Amino acid sequence: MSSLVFARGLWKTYRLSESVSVDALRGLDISIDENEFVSIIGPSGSGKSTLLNLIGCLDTPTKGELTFDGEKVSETDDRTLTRIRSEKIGFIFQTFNLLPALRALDNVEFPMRTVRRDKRLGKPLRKKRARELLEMVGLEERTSHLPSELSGGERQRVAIARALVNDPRLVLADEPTGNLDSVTARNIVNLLHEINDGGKTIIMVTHDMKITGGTKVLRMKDGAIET
Amino acid sequence: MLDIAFRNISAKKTRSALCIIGVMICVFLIGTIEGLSNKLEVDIAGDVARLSNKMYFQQKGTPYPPFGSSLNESIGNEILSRDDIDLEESTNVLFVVIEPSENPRDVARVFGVGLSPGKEKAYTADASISGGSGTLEGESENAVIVGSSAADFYEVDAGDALTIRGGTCEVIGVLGQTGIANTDNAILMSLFFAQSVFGRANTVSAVLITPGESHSMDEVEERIEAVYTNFEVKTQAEIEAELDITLETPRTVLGMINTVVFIVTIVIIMNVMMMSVKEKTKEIGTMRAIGTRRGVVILIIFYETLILSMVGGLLGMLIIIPGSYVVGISWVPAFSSAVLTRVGTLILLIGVFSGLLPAFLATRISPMEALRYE
Repeated sequence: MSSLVFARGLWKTYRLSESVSVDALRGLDISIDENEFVSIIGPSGSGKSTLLNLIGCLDTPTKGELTFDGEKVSETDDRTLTRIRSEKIGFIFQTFNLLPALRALDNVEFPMRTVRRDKRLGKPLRKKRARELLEMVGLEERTSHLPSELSGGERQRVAIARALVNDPRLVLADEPTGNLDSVTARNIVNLLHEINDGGKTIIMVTHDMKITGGTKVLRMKDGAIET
Repeated sequence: MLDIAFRNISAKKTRSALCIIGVMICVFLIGTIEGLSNKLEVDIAGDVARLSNKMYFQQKGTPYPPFGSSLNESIGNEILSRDDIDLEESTNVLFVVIEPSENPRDVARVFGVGLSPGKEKAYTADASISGGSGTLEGESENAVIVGSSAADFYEVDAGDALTIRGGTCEVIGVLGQTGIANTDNAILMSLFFAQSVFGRANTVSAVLITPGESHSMDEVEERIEAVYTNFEVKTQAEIEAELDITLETPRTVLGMINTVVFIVTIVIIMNVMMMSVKEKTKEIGTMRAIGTRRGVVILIIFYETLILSMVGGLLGMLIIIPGSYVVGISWVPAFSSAVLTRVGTLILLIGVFSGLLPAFLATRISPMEALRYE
């Protein structure tokens, strides 16, 4: 099985001032294969979110090599990173991060409107796909609701549908159950497993050990993976 | 992305409405000032056009119109007896203020023009007659023809009596509106009657000259000025240049006011949009994180500023005329397609410029920072 994400000697250093800097990642090596479900756990400040930002092409490493889907993303420009995020990565956030002025259907459709023109679907096809995904997450009755009219679990389901809409190679979930009650959290994790069973690679950052069952767990400490 | 811009605006109804009202008031001011500037220009252009192929012989150094000029009637008669002028289209004229103006641009709210009966056209040019007769010739000594604004001021019509400085006049005609203050505010009367009513016996203000058929303006001007060294002849071009200089200050002041209002409008929208961008830091960060290009984010911000400026701008343009009455601008602005195009262009510029800084700020938002933003 080929590596979807491959990192070697990954460093990320944040300069807080002229004289103070913090090493969030310290020469980390990682390899994640296609169709894996990986949970990254560890205490606050261990570098989980920094690693997720680098894998998610939101940031670039200070040192080291990072490859995503065969593309070397450690030394590329913002335009390319934006394209990769748009076409190959789906994001699920702890606080859902839906666009508040858009209805559920429009929120799911939104990423399809911003892909490159040559890959963009026509409006009817976009609407159809967004509706299908909302059906898949069990929200076919809530398509015309604004995020403020949905419960926390429903919002996260909309966010999951949005993450899948451009058929990404990788889904990144940053504390996806952090703002949900335990029952809803369990349902969301089950949904993520279903998505993984459907062929998607998933990387999930969490504090909650209870939801990591059935996934490959990577423990982080002081900017490195614990062995 | 236009639909998203609309939804963002409607999601913040109160703020958007206040912004639109601010723009509306500013565009109302810009439009009114543009209309007033245009009124000035149209008035001057009409007045100058009225003087085509005509000249004023008047006391040296006195401005146009020659209210401040005074010369003996005998000198005027000497000019009129020259063989290089067209006597049918030339006349002695006496200008006298009857009602002073509140508007510093106008010489008088109402003024009298004494001239030889039958020579009215030399002064009024193509002005139409809205009622009664258009000539004083063959009429009684106290007959007057009243300009449209003067008729409105005294609320008189043809056939009415009018008292000026204790003298009773008979209104025999009313001129149609020309939009030119020097015609609309005038009361035409015989020179003799004007001299007696205003106590200016044997005195005229100027001689309105039309050169004879075979003589050029320059030639007649040169010959007269060579003889009468204490007087001058003002041609249409010289009067136009003089009025142009007179207009310099109002043009500058109105231009400055418009520039300030233009900048204030931009600042209003920019302020609203910067608040909006600040509030939407997390939202913009989310858009960037899920792969939205910077250009798309800029486009949404620009659409929002354009919608706010266009809606406010169009409403502002619609209220210019009724608004100018409400705020008591008696001097109703003049509008032409050129003025409306200029105001429309300004609205567009307002929309574009006010979006620049907020859009720039939006592109500076890092998705990582934004996602942490609460």
